[in-house]
Amino acid sequence: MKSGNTARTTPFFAEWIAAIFFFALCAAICLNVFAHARALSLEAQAIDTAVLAAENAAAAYRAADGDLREAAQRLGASIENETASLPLTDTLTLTMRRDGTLCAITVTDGGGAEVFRIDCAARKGAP
Amino acid sequence: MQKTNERRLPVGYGAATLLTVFAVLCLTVFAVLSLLSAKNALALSRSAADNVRAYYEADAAAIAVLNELDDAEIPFDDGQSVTVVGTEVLFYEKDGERRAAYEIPFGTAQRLSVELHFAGGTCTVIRWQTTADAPPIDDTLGVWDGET
Repeated sequence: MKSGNTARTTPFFAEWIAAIFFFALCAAICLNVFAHARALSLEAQAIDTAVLAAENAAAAYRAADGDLREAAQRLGASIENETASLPLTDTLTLTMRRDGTLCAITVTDGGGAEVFRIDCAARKGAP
Repeated sequence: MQKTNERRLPVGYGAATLLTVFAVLCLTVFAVLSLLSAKNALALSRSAADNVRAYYEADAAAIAVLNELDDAEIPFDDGQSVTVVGTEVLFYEKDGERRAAYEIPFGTAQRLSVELHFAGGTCTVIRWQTTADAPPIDDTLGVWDGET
């Protein structure tokens, strides 16, 4: 008699189908959460890299007594029109630009948005 | 006696539910932990960045005061306090040397302490130090000292 087998296997497969459907739904939601966590982690990493690079640039500027060209040379940055530029990673770029008596050290991402910025000063009498 | 050809199911009822519940629980826990960990890391990075930014603002203000003291001829008087570029500078004599000291607070409980030495018309930096304010001792609770 086949009807006995059919009566037993139908709820069995129904349970499995429901379980797989529910698992797929939960997995889709959790994958979104994982992706969001990954984005936050990348943003934190970018900020850390930007802060370290800006501090390094400020130290080079101070060691060069406010000479932007010398500071750019120490960092290995290219200088054009009184603006030094140094690519840090695939997405981050550091720029140093004279802003009055200060040197604006800015790290921007691939879209041009500012990630981190400090204004470094040098003692008067520097070129 | 009837022989029934009943095939036994390889897995019993409820196994799918148990497996799904376990998998969903694991996924959810790991997802929440990942998100919390990433959020905390981002908050820490932002806090560190704010602290560095505040330090360099204080540093620039200290340099402005230093440049002003280098240029201006301020009449020196031992124990005199003069406001230079919005910062109070104390002039004093130590071991026969003319000195000046000032502090610029930044962040929540830190300050940049600067000490200068004047000699021969030039100003030399003796100390350029970040110091932390001592945390206030909370004695509001009557904690037993072990004696009385």
